[in-house]
Amino acid sequence: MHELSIAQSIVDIVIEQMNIHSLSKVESVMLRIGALRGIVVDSLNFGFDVTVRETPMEGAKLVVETVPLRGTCLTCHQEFIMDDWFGDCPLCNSLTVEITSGKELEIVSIEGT
Amino acid sequence: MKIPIVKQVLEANDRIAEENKRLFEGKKLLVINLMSGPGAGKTTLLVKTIQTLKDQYRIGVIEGDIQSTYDAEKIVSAGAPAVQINTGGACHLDANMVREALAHLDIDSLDILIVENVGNLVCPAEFNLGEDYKVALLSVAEGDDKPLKYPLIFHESSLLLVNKTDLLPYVDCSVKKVREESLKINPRLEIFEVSCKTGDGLTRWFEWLRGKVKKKK
Repeated sequence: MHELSIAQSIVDIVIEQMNIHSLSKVESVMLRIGALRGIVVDSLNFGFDVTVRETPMEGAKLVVETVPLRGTCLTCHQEFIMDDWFGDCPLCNSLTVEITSGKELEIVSIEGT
Repeated sequence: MKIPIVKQVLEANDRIAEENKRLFEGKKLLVINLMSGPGAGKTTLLVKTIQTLKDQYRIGVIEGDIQSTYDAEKIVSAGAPAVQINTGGACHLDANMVREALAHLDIDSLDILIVENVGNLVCPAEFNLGEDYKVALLSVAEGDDKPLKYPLIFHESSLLLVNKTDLLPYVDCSVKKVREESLKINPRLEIFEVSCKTGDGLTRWFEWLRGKVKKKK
């Protein structure tokens, strides 16, 4: 359900940017979304399609890049990519790993005319 | 034409959360964002907390629910000022809702403000409100698989209260598993086992709150 609020925030930001850059049409919005965010891309697309109706953004599409989880070992300070929410440090096998990326939720660029 | 912009999607929320935080800092007010699934015992925890600490601290509560004023009424009966926010369908509170609710509370007269979020293990963890600490509550009746199924809330919280331990003989829930798996997600998480019904373990929660108020003053 949070996808709808997020879609609304995206539309607000992009419409503001359309005014700044004098765009009359937006074809696509590029997003980076961290794996930790728990965002269901299909729900986000659905919420986005509903939100852009009858706005200057009507017809725009989302292009999502998923950012993987990265962790830092609190014992040996090694940084590494994680395939799951948790894992041991590949260097020292410590279980105290802090997640350092995967919370991204940002608009990277917009494509329009 | 491709235009690079790099904007945080939730920047509007984060900006208001930052303003809320500055306001709270200025007043040395401890603010807790209390999150859990529906029925985990958030309101009961607050009622017990208010009953126990009301002579020592002035506690105010913002209640978030999709609809109804049941929870705010319970808080007021327990002896603390409360404001009910009805989100009208939204599954979480955001920073702006909290800012608007503040107008209805005399925050100058408070030591602790607890925001009881909408009952939901997913979305509330996404939205900063300007709080000092996020506290998650999980009841043993919900099952020990929840940390791995809903990791963000465990990752974002400073403290996890495992509630309804009085029900442990009747439900298949391993508190050891809840502990191990939530610590894998967030090694800095503090975890207390409590029963809001019997009062078991609540002393540690009260002590935690006292420590945080002291730190804030």
